[in-house]
Amino acid sequence: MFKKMMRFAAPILSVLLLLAGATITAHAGDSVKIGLSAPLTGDWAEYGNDFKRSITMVFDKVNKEGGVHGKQLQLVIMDSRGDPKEAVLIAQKFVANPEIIAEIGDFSSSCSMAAAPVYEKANMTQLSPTASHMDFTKKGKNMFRVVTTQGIEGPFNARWAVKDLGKKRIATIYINNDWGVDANKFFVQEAKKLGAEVVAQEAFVPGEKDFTAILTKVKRLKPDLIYLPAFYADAAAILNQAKRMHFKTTVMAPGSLFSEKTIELGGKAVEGLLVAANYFNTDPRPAAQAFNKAYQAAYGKEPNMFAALAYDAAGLMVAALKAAGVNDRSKIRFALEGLKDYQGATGTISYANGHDPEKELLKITVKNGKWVVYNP
Amino acid sequence: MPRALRSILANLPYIGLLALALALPSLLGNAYYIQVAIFIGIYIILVLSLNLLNGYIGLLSIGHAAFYGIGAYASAKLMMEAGLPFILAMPAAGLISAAFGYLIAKPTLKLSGIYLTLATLGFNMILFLVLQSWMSFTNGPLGIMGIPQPSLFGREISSRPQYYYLILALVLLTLFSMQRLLNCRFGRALLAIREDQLAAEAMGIHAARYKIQAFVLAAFYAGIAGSFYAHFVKFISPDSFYIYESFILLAMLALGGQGNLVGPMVGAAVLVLIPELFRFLQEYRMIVYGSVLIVMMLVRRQGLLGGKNYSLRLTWFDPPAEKKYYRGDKFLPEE
Amino acid sequence: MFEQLINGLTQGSVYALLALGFTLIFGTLRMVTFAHGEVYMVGAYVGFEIIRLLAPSFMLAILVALAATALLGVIIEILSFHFLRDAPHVTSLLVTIGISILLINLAQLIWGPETKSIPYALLDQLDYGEFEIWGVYITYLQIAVLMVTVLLMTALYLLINKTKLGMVIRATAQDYEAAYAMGVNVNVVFSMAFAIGSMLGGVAGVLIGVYYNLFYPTMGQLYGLKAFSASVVGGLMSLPGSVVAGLLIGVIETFAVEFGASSLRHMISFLFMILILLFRPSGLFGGKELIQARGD
Repeated sequence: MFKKMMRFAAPILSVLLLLAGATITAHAGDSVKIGLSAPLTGDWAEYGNDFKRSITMVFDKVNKEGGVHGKQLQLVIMDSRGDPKEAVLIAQKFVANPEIIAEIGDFSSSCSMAAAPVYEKANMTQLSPTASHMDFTKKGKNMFRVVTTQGIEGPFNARWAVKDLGKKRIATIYINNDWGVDANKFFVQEAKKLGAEVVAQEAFVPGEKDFTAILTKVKRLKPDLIYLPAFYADAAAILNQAKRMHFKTTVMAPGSLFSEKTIELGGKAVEGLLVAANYFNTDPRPAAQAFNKAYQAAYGKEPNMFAALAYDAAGLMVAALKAAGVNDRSKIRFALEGLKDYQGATGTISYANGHDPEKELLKITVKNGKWVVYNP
Repeated sequence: MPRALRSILANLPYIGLLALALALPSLLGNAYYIQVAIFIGIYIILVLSLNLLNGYIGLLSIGHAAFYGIGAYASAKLMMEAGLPFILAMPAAGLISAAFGYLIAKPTLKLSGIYLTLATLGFNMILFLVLQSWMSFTNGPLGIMGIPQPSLFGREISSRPQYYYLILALVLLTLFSMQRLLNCRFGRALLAIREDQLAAEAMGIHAARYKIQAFVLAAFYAGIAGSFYAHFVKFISPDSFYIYESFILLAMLALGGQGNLVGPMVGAAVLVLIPELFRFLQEYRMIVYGSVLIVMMLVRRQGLLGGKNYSLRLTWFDPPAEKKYYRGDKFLPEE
Repeated sequence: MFEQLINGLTQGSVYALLALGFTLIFGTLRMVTFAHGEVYMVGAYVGFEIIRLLAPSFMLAILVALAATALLGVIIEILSFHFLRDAPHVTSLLVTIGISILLINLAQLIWGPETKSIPYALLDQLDYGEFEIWGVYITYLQIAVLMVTVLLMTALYLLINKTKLGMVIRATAQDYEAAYAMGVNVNVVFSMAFAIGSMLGGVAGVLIGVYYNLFYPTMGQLYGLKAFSASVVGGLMSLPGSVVAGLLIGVIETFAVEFGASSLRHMISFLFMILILLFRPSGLFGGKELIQARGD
């Protein structure tokens, strides 16, 4: 009997559920909506959640102080799973909703770039905290980013390694995704130009956690520096496994590794790691300190670079809304371009000379289990 | 009643549905809804092609996204590098995909079905990894960007409604060709093989050959869907053709019901809509998705519409078919 | 070269451990499960919590993980097989896919999406030392992983081939209806086979989780698929076959990194799998007999 009932009930129930989902619409009112497209599930979920935390924090603060032009800010969050196709769908959904005035996201370059044409067509500003692919901001007039591109970060690191540290034999181990490929390419180009020999460029797929084979090979080539475009868990695994095989050399990485998690997971193995960071938690600049304090107060933990970039994205968006008003999508872009020397947690940002901010990168390192400013 | 009128009346539901489909863009209005409708169209073609294997001949492919991906990359490459016009690139992409289908099916189908199933899984993984690491050809994880929009007979297809009508035409073409195919000797042979391969072979049906043909055909349709996807989203990267995409296709097929042409369409529509409707759940969304899949399979394993054999025929093309009904997974004559 | 061989064997024993579970489950139930990688993940997280919260003891962690994954295995068996025994293969397959999606996302809710690790203060108490041969440093944990793999394979082999329970499992695998007619409680046998298979996944989770000291929700995905291909290469039904295949794939992969592009390494297991399917469908050591899935 039960089985029979269930047989009828299940489809009806699912249809009801669907309808329930369809009818829940956000209550409009005296609010202005900003879309956030970010991976909340899947491989990149934690970074999407970093975005969510930082931006919610900023918007809550602004709302408590009375909102923008008397209107409350409301964040409409959608999960892209890190899949470009989903990002396009989300873009279409945001664009079709006249209440949404601008968008923040996505996390990855491929998602951001896949969605860019949709935003461009609708003249909606797309502000990605982290999309670092060179071509992203070339996709249209409405694309902005907060992070420095790999075209800047890679050569910066290469000069640091070759010119300042005098390294001559360099090996790279990079993550084979949209970001890692570029990060590796720009570093290697510049390093070669400066006369260093690149003895190995080894890629690994996301999700790989065994690096012993790569490390054994690299160890035999005796590099004096390893460059690691990777994320903290990969880097912790790589350095721990290197330590296990008694392989010691200088290791340098892009800002992606600046996170308390790198030290938590890496332990003693990450001592001496060199990183050029967009953001750093004991950075004395007031904007950085304000962010660090607010984030700690709200979530009880140290923010990482991705959280800081998203914080700045939210801050930039609020500043732009204040300047442009909250009624016209197409004005946001000009407001962003008009911002002069915006003081963000990740540095001074202005979009007057292009949509790729040129920020000073900070040289930091791990010393006695803590991130400190690098002092040669 | 005159014959013509009678056949029009008999087909009224289909004419109504077609009219609805044609009017959909103006009914929906909102570009996002049209976009969702277009994605449903893409998945309908994919699931119908999978249905050809799983529903009609009993072969299980768990790597169907591979052929979808081959179609997408082939079409993009052919248009961008070989300079082929869209109208040639799309069928060519289908054919390339079909050729790969042949390479997989030919050696494995001599054995029992599980070998093909396993090989499709392996093939999907290999294809994904090749797309990801062959930098010079596929641009690796960065994907191919700036894929040109299609143009047909001198008309650029650029707006959402135009894309919608293109995919609608493709879906109708798929349905029509499959309907014709399944009602001729070929389709009967497939069913016969699914029901009892030994008996079918005793009747002179060359089972292995039919299986290969069906597999190649399914790969062709998937390639066409891939080609449309590439020119619609204008950006393709390996992530979209990972093994999980294949699983989603299978889920759509099983959810909608297989062995007829209506179930797969319903399954595709429902599983595109569920995650869309539950987007507001953010990180809980995939939990809903997984649960729906499990519960559906347990309480209604034949899928939403798997219980019947929907005729879906236009009576002025075909003679009225003998009635059948579907019980369990066997077709039986009416009692 | 010797060092790469050791690397390969360590990596391979992960595949082998997981492949053993796959093989046992497929061999008995004639059903492919896609939730095996997630069972491994759950085992790893359970071990992680035991070591972190209760005591830094391998034995305790493994025991609790065994119990948890055995229970999980029974639940998966009931959901994906018990009610669906006469359904087409794809139905069970989809339920396992649904379970896999569900487990990954539940793990993300419980433990968060970020990668966790056992604090080093605790890890040092587990104290796995190392020794050196010919300039290669080998940790005792590496040896333990390899030993456990071989031990479990032997135990399982003996269980299946030498005990009464094994006979019952084999009989059920061959023809469950006939076994049922002979008075075998096939429901229990199916659950038990699935539970044992899952326990193997759970042990692998604890060992490998601690070895790399990285725990994250999607940790089972790639390994699950790799182990699956190892199981196919081994012949899908052969326990020694899947262990040898797992080790072989591990070794070939590391040598591929040594001699070629490292990004190609993951293709190898799947390429190997397809080649085996094409030229030696019954697996490395398989006989002439071909495998039939349910409803095939």
